[in-house]
Amino acid sequence: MTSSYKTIVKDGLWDNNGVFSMLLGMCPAMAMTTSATNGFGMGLATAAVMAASSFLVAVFRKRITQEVRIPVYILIVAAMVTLVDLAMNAWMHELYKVLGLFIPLIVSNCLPLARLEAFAAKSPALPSLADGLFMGIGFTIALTAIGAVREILGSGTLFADASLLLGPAFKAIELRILPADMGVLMMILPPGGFLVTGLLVVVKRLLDLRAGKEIQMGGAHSVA
Amino acid sequence: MHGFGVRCNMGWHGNCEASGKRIIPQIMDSPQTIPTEPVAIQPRTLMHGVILGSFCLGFGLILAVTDRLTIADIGARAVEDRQSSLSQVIPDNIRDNNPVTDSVVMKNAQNREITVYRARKNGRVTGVAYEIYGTGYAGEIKLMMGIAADGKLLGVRVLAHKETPGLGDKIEEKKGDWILRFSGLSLGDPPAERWKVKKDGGQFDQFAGATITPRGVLVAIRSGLDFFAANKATLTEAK
Repeated sequence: MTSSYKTIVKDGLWDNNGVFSMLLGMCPAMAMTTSATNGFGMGLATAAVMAASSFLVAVFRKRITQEVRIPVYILIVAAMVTLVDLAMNAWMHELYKVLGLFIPLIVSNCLPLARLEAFAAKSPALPSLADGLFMGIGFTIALTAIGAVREILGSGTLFADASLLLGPAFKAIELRILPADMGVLMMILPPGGFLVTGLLVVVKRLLDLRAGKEIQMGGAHSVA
Repeated sequence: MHGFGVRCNMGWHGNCEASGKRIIPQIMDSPQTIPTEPVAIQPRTLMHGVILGSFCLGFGLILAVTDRLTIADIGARAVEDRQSSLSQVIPDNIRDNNPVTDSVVMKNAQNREITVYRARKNGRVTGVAYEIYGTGYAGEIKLMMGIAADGKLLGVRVLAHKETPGLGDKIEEKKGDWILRFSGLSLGDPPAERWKVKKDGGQFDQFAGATITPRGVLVAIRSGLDFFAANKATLTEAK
């Protein structure tokens, strides 16, 4: 498979977005998006794991036989997740306190696995690295968007606690959009996750239709 | 002749037509020779094992090295976390030691092991802190409670809970000052029957829409005070 970097970037960020087009990684997309900051942090951690594991699989792709590829992919993803988990706990502890709970969940996200199977297994190392990275960034954008909508409607804030995640300089982006008691609690509970994710998928497809693009129906390639 | 004299290697793959020909099983990308004798480990199968095994070994080694590199830092961070949660319930001016390193493990009334951290000044125990547990709306609420040697509460802080965001989570210090009102109170002040939320005839506010959470916190604090009363001698004895 040869893809130009431009296609890789466009696919990852919009055309074949992991959440809004392929409908993969639904568990973190709904469970971790009670605020924009949470979604953003979860997305970044996933992007790091995806870039690293795509790169590794592409490097070893000629050694990994068809029959054992799935266990090897899972092993590589799990090892990368554990590495990120340990390193963040030791050296980025403030961030870890916010995200620590979510990091092990990346293993059960099927988006990294899907990209390994659909792209990294057939492509050279550098394009695979780019694919993992931009799919991960696309995932981050999607999770931040879902989190932002849920947070505004549910808590009335936007990017609350962003300074815990990104450092004191980002105190300025912590906004209060609605008064504290205006929030619709349901939006930060699980039903809100389903509603907002569904509505944003519709929005994305309407935008694609308007732009005259073909709608990719669950283009998750061969991997569920 | 149906099925007679025909050896079918992959019987579960479908019908073996008695065509006299041997049916070639469709194994993915391995159109090699078909074993005439069953049960012999194929070199290819062995190779899969070796590949998977060497990946496991390689990444296992990487993880082991990372663990060794990070273990000291992670331990240090855990101690810092403990220190910061203790420093919220044990004021600096009543201690000259480090309570994290001056701890004793005891059993509470529920037979659960808890670690009691002691604050000392000039060798005398001036206060203790330990974790207390209550049952909230969505599971256990874990709190840290500090209590002075005379039995007065120094402070209570929530360490972990799963209460509803926006309702029950007002017990967190950063979401409200409800948890701060316990400092200075003790087992007899207010009297035992007033250690309840207002709805139950006590003197502490519940939250609008969330009574179970503050009720659970109050039960936890009561149990913590009872624990102190029952073990006062052991806890405050200078050793």
